[in-house]
Amino acid sequence: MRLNAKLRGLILTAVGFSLPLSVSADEMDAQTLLSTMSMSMRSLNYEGTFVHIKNGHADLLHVLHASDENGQSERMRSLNGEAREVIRNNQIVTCIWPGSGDVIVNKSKSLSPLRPAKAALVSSAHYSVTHRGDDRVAGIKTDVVDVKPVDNLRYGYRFWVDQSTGMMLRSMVLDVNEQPVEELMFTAIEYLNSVDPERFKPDVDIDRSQQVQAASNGQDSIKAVVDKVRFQSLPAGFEERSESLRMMAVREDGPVSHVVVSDGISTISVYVEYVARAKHDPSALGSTSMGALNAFGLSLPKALVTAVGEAPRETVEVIARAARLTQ
Amino acid sequence: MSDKNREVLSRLMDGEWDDLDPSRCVADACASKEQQAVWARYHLARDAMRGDSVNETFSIASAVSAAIADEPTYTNVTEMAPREANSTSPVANTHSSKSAGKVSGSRWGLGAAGFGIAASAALATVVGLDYFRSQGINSVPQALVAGTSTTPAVQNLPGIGFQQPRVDLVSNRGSYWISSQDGQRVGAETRLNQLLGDHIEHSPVGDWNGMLPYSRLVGYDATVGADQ
Repeated sequence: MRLNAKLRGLILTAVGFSLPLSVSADEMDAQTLLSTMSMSMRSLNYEGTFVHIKNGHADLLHVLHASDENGQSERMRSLNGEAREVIRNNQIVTCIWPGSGDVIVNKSKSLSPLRPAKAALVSSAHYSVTHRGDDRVAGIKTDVVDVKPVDNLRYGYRFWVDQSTGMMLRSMVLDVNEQPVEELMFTAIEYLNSVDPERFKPDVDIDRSQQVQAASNGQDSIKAVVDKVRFQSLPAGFEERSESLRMMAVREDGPVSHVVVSDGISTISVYVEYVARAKHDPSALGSTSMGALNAFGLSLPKALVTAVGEAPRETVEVIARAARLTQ
Repeated sequence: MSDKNREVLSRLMDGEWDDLDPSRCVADACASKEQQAVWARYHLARDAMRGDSVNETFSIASAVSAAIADEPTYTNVTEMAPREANSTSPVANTHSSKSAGKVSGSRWGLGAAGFGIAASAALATVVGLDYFRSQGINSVPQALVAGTSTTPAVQNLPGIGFQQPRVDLVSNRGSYWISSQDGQRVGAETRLNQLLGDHIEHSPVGDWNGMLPYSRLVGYDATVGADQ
């Protein structure tokens, strides 16, 4: 492994001593690589083109990313078909579909570019992390890291990490047979010293777009600590990480509960819309999928439950069915 | 393996070893598994392209041989006499590489660089052929099944008998939510995309994948949805 020494030192400091003592040297190397990758993707300035493959369909996308003392700015645009676009900064996330004029604006999380890598990522008991070897992506030498699940309740992952910068240049989501269900791969990438902020301004006039859904308007009413949803039982390793109640664009007539369930790597969001069964849209029920993402809609007498996440269909369904209202 | 070693192996393949020490070259090759593998690949590709029997101990050997034998080759050179008595096919200018190789002589007439290109082309042909054949008429990509088109992704061209990929406009295809029950697009896509956007922004998955999960939203094709 030939990581940039300065970057590696920074990552090791950031990760600290969170790794369990039983971790082997090889696994520690692999885990350090993952932590490096997580931090590099946030802290580097880069511009590149990558392919996103899912459902047997390949999209070509362009991404521009910048990071400074004020946080991160990102812009991603589809290069084929309609020029769909997402622009994100510390305040808002703007999704643009120029063909229809749809613009969805959401409040974004505030992300500090240099916060420590997530310890949960490197200490999960439900995955094994190994350094698979070396490879090349977009002409750049990479380390390949496998994150293998110990059961079939979750997906596996394979990452190709730039040996010089720690940037993720390719990733796969793997099913239980280690077959890719979704893949991202850079075909070209350039690391930049700085990026002109003007490059993150939307090309379209948002104020004049046909639809502006300011979903963030109601977010001031978030109740950070609520307990309206509990789970009867969850798949092994998954546990409730957070619950919030807030207004969302998906339901204008009342707040929606959002419960995050995770095993440290795989994350499923459970949304509970408090609306009587008679008003449930039948098309929102049952299993649906998009690449590695699965969703399951369940109709309860007083609520519509929807679980969405990057996990096998069965796992997402079990989590949705385990949801119970406390009141 | 260095380019120099590859060049030496190529020259050995071509019999161009006047200024080489064959004993030294063989000893070097025997000592390196990598060189042995390259040597084997060169022989495999050469044998296949010449129509000679190939060493079946290599897993891709039969694939190379079969693919090149089946691959029609087109030429604008009219043969002086039909190769076979019943050669009255409407595609008379099509013949197999196997027979072409025998007609043109068994001598490998390419230099080192030429051989490298030829070997690469042979392998690329195999990959391409295997891909198209493995897809088959019935194994239409999920996106096509769920989309507006029911035309298979692979189709036969009249008079050629070889399956060609169907060329489609990228804007005619998209990625979207499909039902796990019937493989059809679901009617609640906007709602699911709103939930997905929120999920990406407010759950830990976005913490370690950066913005790349948003490629799922950017990849979502609203124009296809409008056609449904």
